[in-house]
Amino acid sequence: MRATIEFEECLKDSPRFRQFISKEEADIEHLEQRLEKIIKLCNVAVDSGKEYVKNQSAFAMSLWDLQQHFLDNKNAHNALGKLIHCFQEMNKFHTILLDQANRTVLKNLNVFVKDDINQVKDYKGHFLKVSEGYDNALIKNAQAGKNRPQEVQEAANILSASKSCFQHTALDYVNYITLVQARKVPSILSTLLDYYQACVTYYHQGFDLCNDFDEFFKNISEDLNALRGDYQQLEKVMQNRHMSVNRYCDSNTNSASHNVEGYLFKKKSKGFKTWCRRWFYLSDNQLVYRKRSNEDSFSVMEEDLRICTVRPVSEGERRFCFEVISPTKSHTLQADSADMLSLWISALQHSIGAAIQHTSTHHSRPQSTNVPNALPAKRRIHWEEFLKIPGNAQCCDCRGSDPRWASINLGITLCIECSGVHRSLGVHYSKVRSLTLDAWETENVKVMMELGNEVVNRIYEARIGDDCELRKPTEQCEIGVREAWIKAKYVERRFVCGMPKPQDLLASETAEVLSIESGGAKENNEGDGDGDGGGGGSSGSGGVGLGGIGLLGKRATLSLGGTRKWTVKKLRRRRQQRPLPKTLSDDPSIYNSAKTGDELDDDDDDESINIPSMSLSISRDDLMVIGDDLALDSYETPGILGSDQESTEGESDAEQPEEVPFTQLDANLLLYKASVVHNLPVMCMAFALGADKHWKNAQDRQRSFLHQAVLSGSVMACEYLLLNGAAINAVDELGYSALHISTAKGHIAQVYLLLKHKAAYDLSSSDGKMALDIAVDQKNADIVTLLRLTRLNDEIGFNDEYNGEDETYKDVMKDFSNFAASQPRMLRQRNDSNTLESQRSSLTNSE
Amino acid sequence: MGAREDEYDYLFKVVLIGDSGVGKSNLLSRFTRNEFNLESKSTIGVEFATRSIEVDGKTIKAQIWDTAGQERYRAITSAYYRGAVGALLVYDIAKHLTYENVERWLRELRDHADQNIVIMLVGNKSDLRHLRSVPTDEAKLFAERNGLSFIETSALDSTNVETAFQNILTEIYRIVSQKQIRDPPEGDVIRPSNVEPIDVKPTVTADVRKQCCQ
Repeated sequence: MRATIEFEECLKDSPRFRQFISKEEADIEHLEQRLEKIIKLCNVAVDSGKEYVKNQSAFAMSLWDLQQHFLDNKNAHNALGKLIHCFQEMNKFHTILLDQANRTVLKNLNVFVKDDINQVKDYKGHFLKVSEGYDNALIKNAQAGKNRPQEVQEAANILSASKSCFQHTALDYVNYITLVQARKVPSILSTLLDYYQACVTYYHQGFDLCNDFDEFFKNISEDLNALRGDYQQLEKVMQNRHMSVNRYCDSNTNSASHNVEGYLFKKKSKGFKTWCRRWFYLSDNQLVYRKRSNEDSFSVMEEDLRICTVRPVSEGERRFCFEVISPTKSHTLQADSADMLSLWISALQHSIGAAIQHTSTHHSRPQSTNVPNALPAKRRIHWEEFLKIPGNAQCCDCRGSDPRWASINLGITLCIECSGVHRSLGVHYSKVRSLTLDAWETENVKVMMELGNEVVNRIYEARIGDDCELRKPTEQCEIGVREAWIKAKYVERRFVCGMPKPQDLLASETAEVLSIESGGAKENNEGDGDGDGGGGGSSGSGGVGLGGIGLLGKRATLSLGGTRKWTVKKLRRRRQQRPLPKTLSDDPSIYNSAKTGDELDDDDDDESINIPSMSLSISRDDLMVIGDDLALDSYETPGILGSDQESTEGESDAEQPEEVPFTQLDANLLLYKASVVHNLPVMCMAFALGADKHWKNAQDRQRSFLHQAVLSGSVMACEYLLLNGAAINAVDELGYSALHISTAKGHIAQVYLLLKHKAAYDLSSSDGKMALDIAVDQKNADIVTLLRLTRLNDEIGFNDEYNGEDETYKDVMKDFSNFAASQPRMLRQRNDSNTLESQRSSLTNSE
Repeated sequence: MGAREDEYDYLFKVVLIGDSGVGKSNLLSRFTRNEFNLESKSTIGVEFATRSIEVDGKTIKAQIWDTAGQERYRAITSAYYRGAVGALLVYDIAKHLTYENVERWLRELRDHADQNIVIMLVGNKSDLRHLRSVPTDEAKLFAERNGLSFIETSALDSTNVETAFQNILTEIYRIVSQKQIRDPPEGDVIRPSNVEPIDVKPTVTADVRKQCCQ
C-alpha cells in the first residue's frame, strides 16, 4: 500500500506535502504515458485485425470461385462448401473479437485517461493558482505596516480568506489524486479482464464450430485417403502406359479395323502446294478432315466415297503417299509410315466398297430408311422433298415405287431401270441424275419443283388410251418393254397431248362436259405439224383429246361470238409457309384480279399460290388460259425448295398477260409466251408439242425463248430452256444475246447460269458492245468479275499443270451460285440503280 | 481467248490490293504494257493481265489480278485471293490514309489468302516528292516488322515498277522452286524438337520411278 499524506501536512502546506504532490503528479504522468501507448498499440492491433479479417473474407470469396470449378464433382463441391462456411464463421467470430477489443480496451482506457487523469491535471492548475493567491496574501500580510492598522486588518482578512480557500483546494486536489490512484488498478484490470473474456468467447465459439463440423471433416479425410490410394494406382497405370506406347503403335498398324482415323499430311491443290497435317476420318460415306486446333469446324474432302477410288502414289518426293480420286478432283495425302499407308488405303477401299454395297442392297428394298440417313444432310433433303411432288413417288414411266433417279430436263423421277433407258436416249432427250448420289444445283432443283411426274405425264401420256399396240411398262417388266415405251413417249412423242384449241362448238358457259369433236383433232394435227414434225400425226384418226384436249376443253370455254384468244399465266410454286389463301369466294380481291385476268401484284402473288384452275377459266369466255389443266391442286411445297422468288422482281406492275388469237397458236409461240411468264408446265407442253429450239420470233425483234426467259428474270425458266437445248447464243435483231440482256438487267444469277452453260461472252451486239462492256458501263462488279474470270479461265485452258486458276474459277463460280441461290433479292437490289432501269427499259421496250 | 502465249515453267498468281486511287491499275499497265493513263477510271470487279519474265533461266508467267480498291466495286466473292502466291499491297506515298489502311488489307490477306503468300508493300507515286506524307523509313520499318518486303515505285515515271514485280516473282520462285516451305506455322503443326521435319531424300523414290516408268 502506498503512503498517503497526512491531513495536517496538507493543511500546513509543508514541504512534505509539496513533495508528495509532485511525486504523485509524476506518477500519474507516467501512468498516462503508458496508457496512451497501450491505446495506440491496441488501435494498431485492431486495425491490423480488421485488415486480416478483410483479407480472410476475400480468401473465402476466392474459395467460392474454386467451388464453382467443381460443379461436376458433387463430393468436392460439398466439402468445399462446408469448409468455406467454416472459414466464414471463424471470420465472423474474429470480427466480433475485434469489436470487443475495440469496445473494452480502447473505450475504457480512453475514458480513464480523458476523464480521470485529465480531471487531476485540470485541478492542478486551479490548485497552483489558489496557492499563488495564498502566497500573495501572505506577502501582503507580512508587508503591512504596524502603523497602518486598517491595512493590517485588510491584509489579515484576505489572508484568512485565501488560506481557507487554499486549504480546501489543497484538500480537494489531494482527494482527486488519491481517488485516481485508487481507481487506476480496478479500472485497468477490469478492462483487461473484459478483453480476456471476449477472447475466451472467441475461442469457445471457434471450438463449438469445429465440434459441429468435426464429423464431416473426419469423413472427408477418410475419403481423401481413399482418393490418395486411387491416385497412386492411377499414377502407376499412367507410367505403365509409356511401356505400351510401342505396343500401341504396332497394334494400330496391324489392326484390320476399317474404322480408321488419324493424322495425314495433305497436299494443297492450290498456291504453294504445301503440306499440312490434318486429322482425317470417315463419316457418313464422306472423307472428312479437321485441324488439330480447337475449332470444331471440319472440311469435307470427299462428299461421297462411292464415287472415289484410292491408289498409292509413287511419284513425287515424299514417301507413303496415296491419292483419293473422284470424278472432279484428286487429293494427295501422306501417311506417317508404310504400315499406316496400307492401313489407310485398305480402310478407304473397304469403306468405299461398304458404301456402295450399302446402297445397292437397300436399293431393291422400297421405303428403306437407312439409306437416307447415310447421306449428307443437304442431299437427303432434296431426295425426300422431291418425292413429295405429285406423282414423283412413283417412277414416271413404269410406276415403280421409290424412284432414285431423275431426268433434270424433263423434271421427272425414275426408277433405276427406266433411268438406264433414258440414258440410252442421249442427253438431248434426257439428262439423268441420281437423287441420292449426285450433288444437285439449285437451278435444277427449282426446275424439278415446277414439274414432276404428274404434270409431265399429263402432257406426255395424255393419249395412251387409244394406243394399244404398246404395252405399258410395269415395275417388273422386261427391259424391251420399257425401251419401246420410253422411246415412243419421249422421242416419238406419240402420247403427247394435242395443241390446245378453242372449243368453238360448245356454247355452254359452264363447259364441264367432255365434248371433243373430230374437227378438233384435225386442227390439232395441223398444230403439231407446225412443230418440228413430232409425232402426233399417226394417231390423229382416233378420238383425239380424251386426255389433253379434253382437259383443256373442259377448262377453256368460248362464248359464241367472242374473240378467240389464248394466253399463258404465271405459275409459280412458292414456299408455303403462310397458310393457303382463303377460298376464292372468301377473298374478293383475288377473285376480281383473277376475273379481269390481270397479273396479280407481286405481294398478292405470294398469297395466291395455285389458285384452282377453274377460277381462272370461268372468268373470261373468250380467253383460254393454256396450262390451267396442268396446274395441280396445291400440295405442301417443301420448305427449302421454293421456286425462284426473284422471278417477279422487276415485274411489279400488274401487267396484262398478252392475249393472242388462236390463229397464231403454235408450239413455238406457246413456248415463247410461256417463257415470258416462266410457266414451266406450259413450256414443257410446248417442247412436247415440238417447239423448235432455234426458233426466233420474227414478230418480236427476233427474240428467242431464252431472251424472254431472261427478261422475265426467272432463273429456273432459263435453266429449263438451257437444259432442253435452247440456243444459248441466239441474238435478237439488235445483236443482243441472252447474256447481253441479263447483264444489262444486272441479274447476276442469270449471268452465272448462262456462263455455266458456256454462253459466248465475246459476242458483240449491233452497236459493238460485248456483255462485258455493258457490265463495265453499269459498274456491276459482280458481273464484270464473272465475265472477266470466265474469259481468263478459257485463256488459261484446262490442261496446264499449274492451272490453279481453274480451281479459283470454280471457287468464284461457287461463291456466285451460292449467293444466287440463297439471296437472289439481295443480288438484284445490290445492283439495281436508275441507270440500270433506264438501260433495261431501253433494251426491252424502245425500238 | 486467242493463241496460247508461249511456254512457261511457272505460272504465279499475284494480286494487287490497296485503297482506291493508289495506282494499282497503272502499276499493272506499266508492267505489262508499259502504259500509263493519268485519267484511268476506277477498276470494276477485277482485271487481269499477264507478263512473263526470266528468273534463273526459267520462264515465269505472272498472272496479275488487279482488284477494285473501292468497296462498292468489289464483287461478292472472297475467291480473289485463292491460289494467289504473291500480293502487292499498294499505298500512295502522298496520301497518308492509304498507308494507314495497309493494316486492314493485311488483315484481309490473312483471312483469305494462303499463309505463305509473299507480300510486298509498295509505296507508289514516288514522283510526288513535294507531296510526300509517308516517310520512307517509317514504311520500311513497318514492312520489316510485318515481314513484308518493301519498295517505292512510280508508275508515272516507271521508277522501280519493273524491280518490284521482278523482286516479288523472284522471291516466289525461290520459295516454290526450292520447296523451302515447310508446313504452315500454325498451332496444329507439330514442331517438337525431337522430331525431324519430314524431308524425304529423293534417292529412293528416284529409283522407284525409274523402275515403273519403263
